[in-house]
Amino acid sequence: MYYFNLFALPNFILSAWILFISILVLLKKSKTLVYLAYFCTIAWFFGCGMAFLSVDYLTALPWIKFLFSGIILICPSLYHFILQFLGLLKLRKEQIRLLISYLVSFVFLYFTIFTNLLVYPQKCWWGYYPHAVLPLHPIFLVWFGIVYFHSVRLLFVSLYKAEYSSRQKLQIRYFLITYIVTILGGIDFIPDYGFSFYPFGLFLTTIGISITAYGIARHRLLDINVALTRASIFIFVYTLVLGIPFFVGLKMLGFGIWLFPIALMGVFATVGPFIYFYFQRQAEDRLLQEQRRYQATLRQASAGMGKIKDLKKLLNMIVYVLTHAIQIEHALVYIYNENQKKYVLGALKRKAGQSDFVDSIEMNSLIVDYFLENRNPIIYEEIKQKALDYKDPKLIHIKEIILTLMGALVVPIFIDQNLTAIIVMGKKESGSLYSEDDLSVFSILANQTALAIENAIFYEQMKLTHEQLFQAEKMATIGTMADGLSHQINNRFHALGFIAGDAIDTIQMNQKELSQDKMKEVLKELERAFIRVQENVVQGGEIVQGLLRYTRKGDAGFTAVDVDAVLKSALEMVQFKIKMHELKIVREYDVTTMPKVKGNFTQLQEVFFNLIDNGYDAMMQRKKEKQEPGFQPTLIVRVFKQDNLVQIIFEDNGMGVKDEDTHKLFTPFFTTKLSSKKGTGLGLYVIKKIVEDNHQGQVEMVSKYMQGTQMKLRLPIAIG
Amino acid sequence: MAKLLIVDDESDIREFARNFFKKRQIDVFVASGGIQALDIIAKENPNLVLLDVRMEEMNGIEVLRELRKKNQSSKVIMVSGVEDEETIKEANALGVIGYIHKPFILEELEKIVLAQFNS
Repeated sequence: MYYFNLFALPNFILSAWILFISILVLLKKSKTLVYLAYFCTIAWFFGCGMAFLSVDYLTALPWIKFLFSGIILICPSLYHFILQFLGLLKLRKEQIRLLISYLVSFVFLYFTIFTNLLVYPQKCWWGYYPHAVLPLHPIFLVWFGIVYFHSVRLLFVSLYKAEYSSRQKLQIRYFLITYIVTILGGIDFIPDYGFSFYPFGLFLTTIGISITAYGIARHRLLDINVALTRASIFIFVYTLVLGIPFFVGLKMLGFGIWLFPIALMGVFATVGPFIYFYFQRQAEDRLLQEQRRYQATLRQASAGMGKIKDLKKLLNMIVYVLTHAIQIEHALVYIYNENQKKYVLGALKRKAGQSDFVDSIEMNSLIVDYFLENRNPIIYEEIKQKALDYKDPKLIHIKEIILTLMGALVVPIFIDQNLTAIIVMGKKESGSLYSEDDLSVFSILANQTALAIENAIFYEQMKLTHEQLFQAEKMATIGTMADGLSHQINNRFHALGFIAGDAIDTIQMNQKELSQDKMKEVLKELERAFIRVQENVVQGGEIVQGLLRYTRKGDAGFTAVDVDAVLKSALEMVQFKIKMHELKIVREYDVTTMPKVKGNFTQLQEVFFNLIDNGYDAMMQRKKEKQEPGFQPTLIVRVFKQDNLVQIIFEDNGMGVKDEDTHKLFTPFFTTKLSSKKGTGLGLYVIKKIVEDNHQGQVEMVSKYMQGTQMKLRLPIAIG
Repeated sequence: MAKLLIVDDESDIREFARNFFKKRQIDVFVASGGIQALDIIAKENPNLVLLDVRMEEMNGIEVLRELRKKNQSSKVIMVSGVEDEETIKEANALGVIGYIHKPFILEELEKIVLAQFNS
């Protein structure tokens, strides 16, 4: 039956190890076929182990057959896996080759299981082991070699093919190493021929299999050179560390029972470091859990920072995140103010109760100097200690400053060489001090904060520039209306002149004879004249008022805007630029039910003005170029509610825009208008800025060349 | 009686100029636009036409062009507001007696008109 044989132990241990690895790989990558080869290997190892334990020939026989069956199937199953991994399974010729290998292996299986023509049990000094039978065994080895080397060749060639990613190629390199290592496992075939040495090839096979598993399952693979170097160093060191005592022991004591405990020690020494690192990491993770948590929070916050463009909001967000993530008593940001030339309190977050915070830091403050010299954060406790140790008056002074700021930690924020802001953080609520780890996190945070602040400042300047731009564009537009405006105003004066002139003439002509009736008639004529004078004055006044309204900067605020009113006022202005009688304006909306827009009246008026002006020019251009008889330039204005937005569409039947010009249209100074006198080239650019940046809306253009254009605006709806 | 045609789209101009010249025994016709003007010229053949350049539907130059096309040799004085070189050149090419720029007063206009009628 069976007896206890120490030599079987490695086999069982390694079978268990490979089983464990197979399960791991299956869990991570269930679709891979490598487990076929793994199970064959398990069969081999386990069968071998059982054979070693066998007492006699008959007990060993089935196990020898079992283990050799496993060995036979390893080859085709590995080949199958390689084909699957390289994506070559669909190739006809490879499919045929695979089929042949399986068929051949089944033939060998038959011989192994049902006959003794391939192997039979042979008693060696370590236990029963398969013995080769000529001629089939060598044939088997040859076939094994063929399939094996074909697989290696496929792997090797694929390293040079472009269709595999670099990650796949790295995996292929791992597999190649496996193949090379496992071929050394082929040493185990040698005892088949009667050579008497212990078949330690299974250790090499196990290593190979472990490498394969690593290559399949691990997401991030070590660079192969790194992996090999590490493995080599490990093997070298351990061979020395374990080998030397063994060698010395053998020399001094010869073979004996002492080998067993020493071997055990060797195993533990090998495994030891891994266990040590594992536990160490677990323990540290637990210890630093708290710290890791808030460091993660801070990292997240810094990622989100870049998106906030409003400086005030950004600073508030920073202090909020700091107090909440780290759980500290308070956090303040002092930001450099250009006008006041000092660092002004920009944002603060505190626990209820505390109120006496410093509201600014002077430029010439020692702490500013300190930061300009050393760009590092200051921990209060540290500088307090340093001040005591070195008795440096400067340090003492700085310590005092930090005390008044009520900071436990003060972090400088630099943009290039300029100290843009200073963040003051209070004590941690837990009472613990700021650590080295903390400081490194805050340094990174400081950099990102600097970028975010720079971004926000830039954005504010951009907004200012935009406002200046809108104003400039409006002024320039007035220039294009000069003709129309001055004509209108001129006409008022001209009319006033004629009216007065005629009235004066009437008086002069009737100075001599003034009968009652004639007097009445003259007075009536004069009355009429003065009425007309007033009318002209009123009209003139209205033109001036309209112009003033247009040129005025207007509030930046948002109200519920009546679209029809904006259209009216835009038309009021645009009449000085275009010939209104040529244009037909169609309003497709119901004034009573149409939605109101949440926006700025003056800015929307500018948008409408430009849209009408552009539409008019396009239509005039079409009129001039196509010369269609009966062509009626028409501008249709549609307003309707869509979801929770107001859709406004200006549709004209003008020239339209060529496809190649579409993307350039909204860039400043680009114009397709015939006469550049007609515009500033900023119209659409300004429209886009007003609608998208200021109103958070959208502007879209749909145009058909020579047929017309639709300008679609989507604006927020006014609620309530 | 001398016939005068005043073409201007401003109603006050038409009304008060007409009042003024009627007192001087001049037959005054008024037109608010180019088409009306051409009509009246064809019908009444005025001695002098005061033609406003800037009008909505048909501007003064266009009216002048039409006139000259029909070989109408009416005497025309262009009344202009803010005109540019080109318009002046065109008007001259089509043949006008003269040019007066708004605003001007009736006294001045009277002198010019009477001068024309008497020549």
